Amino acid sequence: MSLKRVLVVLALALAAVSCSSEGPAPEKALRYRVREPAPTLDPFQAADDNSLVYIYPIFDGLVEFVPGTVDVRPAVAESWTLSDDHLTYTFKLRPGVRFHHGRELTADDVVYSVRRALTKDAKSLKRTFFNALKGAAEFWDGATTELAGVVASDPRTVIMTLSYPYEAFLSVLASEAGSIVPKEVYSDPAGGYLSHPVGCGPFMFESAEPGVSVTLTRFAGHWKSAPRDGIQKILFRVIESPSTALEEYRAGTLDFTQEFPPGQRTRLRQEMPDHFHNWRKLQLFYLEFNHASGPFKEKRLLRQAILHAVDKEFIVKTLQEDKDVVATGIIPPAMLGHTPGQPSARYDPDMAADLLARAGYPGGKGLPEIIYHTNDSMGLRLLAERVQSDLARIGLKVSIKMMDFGAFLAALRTNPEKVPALSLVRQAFYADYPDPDNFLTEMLAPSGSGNTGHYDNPALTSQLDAARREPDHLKREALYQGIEKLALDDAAIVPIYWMGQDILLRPEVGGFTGSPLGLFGIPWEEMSLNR
Amino acid sequence: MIALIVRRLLWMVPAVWAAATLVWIFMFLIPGDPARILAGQRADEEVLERVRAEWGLDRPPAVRYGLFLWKLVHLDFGTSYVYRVPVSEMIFRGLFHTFFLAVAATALALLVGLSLGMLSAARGGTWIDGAALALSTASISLPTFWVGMMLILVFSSWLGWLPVSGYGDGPGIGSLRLPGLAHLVLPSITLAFSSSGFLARVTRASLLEESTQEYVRAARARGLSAPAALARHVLPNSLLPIVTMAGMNFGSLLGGAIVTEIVFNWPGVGTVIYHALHSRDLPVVEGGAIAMTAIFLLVNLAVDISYTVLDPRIRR
Repeated sequence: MSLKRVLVVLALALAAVSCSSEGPAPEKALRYRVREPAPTLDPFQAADDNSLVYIYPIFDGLVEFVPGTVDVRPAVAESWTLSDDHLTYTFKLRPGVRFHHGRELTADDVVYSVRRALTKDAKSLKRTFFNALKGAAEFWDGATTELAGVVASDPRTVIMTLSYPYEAFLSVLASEAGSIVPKEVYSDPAGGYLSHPVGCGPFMFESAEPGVSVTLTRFAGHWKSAPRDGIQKILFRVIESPSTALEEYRAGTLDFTQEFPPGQRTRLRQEMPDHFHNWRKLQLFYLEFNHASGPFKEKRLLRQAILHAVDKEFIVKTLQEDKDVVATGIIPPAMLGHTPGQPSARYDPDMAADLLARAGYPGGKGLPEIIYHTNDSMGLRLLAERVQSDLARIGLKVSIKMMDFGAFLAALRTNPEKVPALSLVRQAFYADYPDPDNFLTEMLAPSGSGNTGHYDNPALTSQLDAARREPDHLKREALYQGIEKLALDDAAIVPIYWMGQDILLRPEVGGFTGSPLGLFGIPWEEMSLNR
Repeated sequence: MIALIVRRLLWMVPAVWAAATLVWIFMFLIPGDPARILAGQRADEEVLERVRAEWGLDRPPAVRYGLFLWKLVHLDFGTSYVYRVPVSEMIFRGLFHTFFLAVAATALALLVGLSLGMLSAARGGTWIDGAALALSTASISLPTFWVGMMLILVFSSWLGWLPVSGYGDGPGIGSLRLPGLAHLVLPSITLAFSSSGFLARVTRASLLEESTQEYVRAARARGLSAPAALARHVLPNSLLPIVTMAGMNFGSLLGGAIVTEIVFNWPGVGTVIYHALHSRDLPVVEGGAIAMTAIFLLVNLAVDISYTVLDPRIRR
């Protein structure tokens, strides 16, 4: 082919291209950007936002969260009663609830699903959610094949028995751990349900292209009636780059995006005020000490000095562009036990310097270098540098180490002696279900899965045990307020901010409510799309 | 000739084996327990044991390596930990998507690079040469992600002519899909941008060297115009380095232009491997690396064979 001919072909191709730049107009489909592919679509194996944004619409439980709150209301169960001793829940199932494959849901499915959440072989991560359920530990360990705490007394009645009163139990059932799955699908040894999940939620799985997209479509047989102009499909597109996602949104090819390139927040807010939403989540960003050995373990005053030396206000206002809220304590607002304006976590560099001197390191003398561990992103790097300079102001030397963060956390958890003793770790913790028991126990008790720094305070742990079993709501609240104060006085961690969530959502999407749970708590089935 | 091809193909076996082994060792040494990353930071030890058992991660390294090789000999790349589909399927799909990008980018780079290089050589030492040189330097030095973002800003966000990102909806072939033509434009230009700069330089150097030869002077003496001499005599004889360059470039593009694929959200093999690395989907990373090694070697072989076509002296 001569050069001339090549040129002609190329010109023709370009001409053809410029005529066909618009994709097909979607019918009532919400185009949703996700950053990475979902690690799993199994509700019991899921443990992060990336999976839960798919799992919440696909699966329903006996109860659900009221949109925008942490309160619980009936879902698959139309009603329930709680015995006077706060130990026995009797759930009455709604008649005519169906799974996506057509079969009617019965009480046996509920029993099967809870058992599955407590089965090691199902690789469930939900064991701790059901700690209060009678016989859960024995069943998990395989000591018995009967799970005493869950019984189907008739096809429409499920009785759940606890071994101690647990006020948060309904929150557990409203979370993904309470998802109800059909036995015949989920006992498939080949694991077909992993690539094609089946639940009874408002949206059903339609298709997926690995690593590229997932499509959910509205389930016509759902027990909730769809609103007028309801969303018919949710099309999740994996778009790794936040900049690309933002340009897609601007071009009108996405209806929903989150996570903006650093420094863009304020501008976007002004540019698209009708699109911009921000709300608070039950999530804490904090610094964790390596409590396993060395000065961080032994010197409370040193930890307190660091707690008071970090300028949280600056981090939130300047680095986070006000997306988040300064953490004046540990328990986030909207959660039971939150105390506004805890004085024990305030920024006070003079007090910090004084505490440091009292700890035996006046002006930082005598203390080796502290290692700050973080994963690498623009925002986290700036934050690390700010902490570094705040601590330098009271005389502490800090070096920042960026690495494969998952690998580092695993090492800290299993071999803390191989990690530098003076390690400070950037951490974030979100509530598995919206209750301070989950929040504080997982973060601060020795058994806690979020306690990678090996914090161990027997007084605090025993108070957590007492608060967990307290049936009286007000007493329980007071107990958690006390526990939070204890943790802050002990400088167990350095709370920085409670996380907020920013999104862009087209104004054509009506009825939006942000959820304190996170992105996955948004009730898409109740929202409309006027397009 | 045939013997040469067969010998080269046979040499590929140890090369692929070495690459596969290296990748396997690196994936083994890389910190981070794949089971922990798969199951989540908060998984119980008991659950981790089950994840390890399911994927054979609990076996001794020697056994794991042996099994890996055994499967490889049978052309079985294993199953993705995350998607639970055969790795070969994922890699093939990714390569299929990347292929169009690589072809379009190479064609574009050749077109621009050759023209620029020829122009530069023909007008050696003039301001045109200088401008072309500056242009090619710029194209080589500008980072790919920046070029990509700028193209998106101008052609998608401001002018609205072309889609921002994605693969588009072309006609389907079985379970595969061709890319949308409009979606192909910006990522190909981005990829072609830097390689055309290199090509222009190689072309210019090669042409200038060749044009000092006696036969060119003879051609001019016979009354051929300078451009005609350049196109008909000099160019065909200076193609060797250009073809080598373009071929290598094509091979590395097929290996996944990760940055460009991420910026344009192109579901190619680079993106597949990038996500797999993140989630420690070891079989996918290993399979991807092996496939790329093989492809690179094949493209190299094709380049070598093309020498014999371009330069009859090599055939002997």
